[in-house]
Amino acid sequence: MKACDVVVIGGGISGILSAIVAAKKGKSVTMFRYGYGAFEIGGGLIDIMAYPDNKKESSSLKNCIGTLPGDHPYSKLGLKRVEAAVKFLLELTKEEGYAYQGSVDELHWVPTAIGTMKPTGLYPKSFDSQILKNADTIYLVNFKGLKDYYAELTEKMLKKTIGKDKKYEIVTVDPRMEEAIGGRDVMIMDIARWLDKKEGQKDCANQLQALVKPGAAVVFPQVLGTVPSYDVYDKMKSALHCDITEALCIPPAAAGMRLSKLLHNAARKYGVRIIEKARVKSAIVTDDVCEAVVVSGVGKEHTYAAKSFILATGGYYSGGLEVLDNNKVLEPIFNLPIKVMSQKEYEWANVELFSNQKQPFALAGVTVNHEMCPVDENGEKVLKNLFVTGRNLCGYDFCFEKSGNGVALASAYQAAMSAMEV
Amino acid sequence: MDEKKINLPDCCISCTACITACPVTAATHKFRGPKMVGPAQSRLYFADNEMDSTLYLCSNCKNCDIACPSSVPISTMNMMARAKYYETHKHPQRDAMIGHPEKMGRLLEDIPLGAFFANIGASIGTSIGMVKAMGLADERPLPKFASETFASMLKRKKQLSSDKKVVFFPGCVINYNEPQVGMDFVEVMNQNGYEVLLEEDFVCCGSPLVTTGYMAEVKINATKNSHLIKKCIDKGYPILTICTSCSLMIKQEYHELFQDEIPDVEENAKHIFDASEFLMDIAQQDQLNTNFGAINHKFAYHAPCHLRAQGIGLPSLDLLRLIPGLQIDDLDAGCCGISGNYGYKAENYERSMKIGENLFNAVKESCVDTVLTDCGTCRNQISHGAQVKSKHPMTILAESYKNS
Repeated sequence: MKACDVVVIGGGISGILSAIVAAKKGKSVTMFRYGYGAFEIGGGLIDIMAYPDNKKESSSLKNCIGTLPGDHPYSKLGLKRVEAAVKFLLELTKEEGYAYQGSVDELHWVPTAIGTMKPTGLYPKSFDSQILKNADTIYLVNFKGLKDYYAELTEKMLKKTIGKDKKYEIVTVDPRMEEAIGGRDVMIMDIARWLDKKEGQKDCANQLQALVKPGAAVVFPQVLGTVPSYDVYDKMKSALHCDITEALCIPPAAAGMRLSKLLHNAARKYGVRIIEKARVKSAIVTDDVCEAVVVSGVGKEHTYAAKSFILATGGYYSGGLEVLDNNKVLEPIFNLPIKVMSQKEYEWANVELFSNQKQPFALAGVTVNHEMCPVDENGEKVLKNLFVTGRNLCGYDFCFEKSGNGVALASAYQAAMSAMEV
Repeated sequence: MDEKKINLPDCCISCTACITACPVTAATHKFRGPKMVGPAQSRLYFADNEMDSTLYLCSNCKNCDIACPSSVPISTMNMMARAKYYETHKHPQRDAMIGHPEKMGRLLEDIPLGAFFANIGASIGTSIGMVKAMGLADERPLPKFASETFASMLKRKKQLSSDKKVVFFPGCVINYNEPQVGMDFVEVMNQNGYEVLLEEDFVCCGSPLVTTGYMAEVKINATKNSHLIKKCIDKGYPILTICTSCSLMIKQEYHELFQDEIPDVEENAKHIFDASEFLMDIAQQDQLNTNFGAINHKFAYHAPCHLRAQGIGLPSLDLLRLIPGLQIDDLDAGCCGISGNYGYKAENYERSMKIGENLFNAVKESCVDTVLTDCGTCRNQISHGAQVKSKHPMTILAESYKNS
């Protein structure tokens, strides 16, 4: 059977990133995807680290990496490797025409739909709370018919977070979506698609020009297009002569759609062979080497051989980890050793939803070494040519720490580097 | 086989991936979207047996199924709800025609010069407004009937005789509209040492009947085909198709719709292949005839949604890339908008063209004169919407072997 260089199992952010890293270096890569991953939920930002420990005090990764527990993915990777991964993403997004910015050195705060500020790591330039601090007047853009966004609420909370001393004004744009009456609720995604088109951009800019005075700051919900480009952002900025920012909103997230498209465009450009709706069911292993994986598509099984493999199937929601009845967590393809925080299931969850403790169930996952190669409890490699990324890994609570996409990015970069050395 | 969760709408975690993937949702705000119309609405059937008032907008293109991380067969839920509706409601008149391309084909086959007159009739029908009056789009040409069926052409062909045999499931488009594409497939298989057998009793796979809501007829066809497929498999012959909607139907949708009611559907699926999938499989074992002659031409490739839903990648694209001199761009621009008979309905025409806009623009940007794609209705839509030629990849493979 013919083998490719690298097989990537999973098409979420860590899967596709690792596929791009290897393909960009000239390797033949096949990536299996079952479903779309969490791009549209994740909102398009790369949170690296904000809340490292239970004290709930924010900190950049650079300031806290030394204090993280030993089995945290960042502790395994070390700051230099995370920085290399960040550099890769910043360069890739620039090459693809939708440059991200940010670093591991400091937190960047973005406004949310409810007027609070959320810390992140890497971000498109259209998310920036700083412009609100600098402005005397803040306009909040509302769209007629748009559900899921309440400019009044944003205004109320912004007065608390940014200050009452500024002038706030809500301005409403009509996206002319009468067709939606009796149909679907108008979503962020619909407005963003309206703004993808030249006519929509023109219409929106014209309506706002009549309402907005130059020199102010303008907050849009996350609607500045669904394609990876600053076209809409630049047009609005120059039409209004104002600084503008988007606010994070509930899914489906337009900026997540932009990041997804950006990465898929890059994957296609570098020749990644993407096989959709393909769930990897099992692996063919000889001694401590994985020879091939078995994919069950519709009706039948296909076997794919490779020199090395990257596991990026995610956590509980995407089937990368399964909770069994007997208080065990399973990684279903390779049956890799899983570290759990407690043998007693009743200790897995902290019942306080907004508590200041990381959730024990969230910390469960595959144990790896610094190469992202899975290891057993003695630190011995389980499979020499398998590397693990993202939510499959143990030792971090992405939700609490706000570290999900950052761990995905850094582990994907390292896994691809390791896979290429096999 | 992946476990299907047809009766388990609660497997939907409301992640909304399907909504972002749905081309109809992108084209109209009237459609409430796959999540709402499929799993969410199906939870309410115990209380209210009426279908969602926007279900008629679903094209069954299956992009929702491709996007779903939780294996919920959303589009099939929609089609079952549509069928339920037509148990107690009357079909529009034109559904009888577009749901039954095979009936039309068989009828014409028996009339001398039937196809000729049917094609003239269709163009007259368009010009005098008959087509529109029937509820069909008169802006686009109706598929033309060939003067000879594939079955008849195959009988005249002197084929390679071989111990290695495959059974061909031609489907209505190949049999009645584009028989030459079927002959190209036969040529490619012969070049690889396979003799192609035809089971003449195969009937329409049922895909156009599913989307028009004739579920009882789908079951009759599925039962008949499954029985015949089983007989071929028992003789050791794999079943091959070159129409991606047929292959999806007989491989996957029979199972989703009738798994406990029709015998053998699950076992059959293991032996049913898209022809390019089959050829890539033998390529993996170094058994593909790679004696390809050069074709110095640039093409673009469009992946039909019903192929993407099969979990086998894009095997035709992999094969085409083996041809020396041939350049090919994967357009990757989403659904073409026709989705079988969806875009032929008068009320769907504009929406169908709007859905295809991304793809038409991508074709224009690629500056090619010919788009290659595995699906017959996609070919019609691309030729109509992007004003280029469209061909099946098998035609190019056959040509390449001829050039060697």
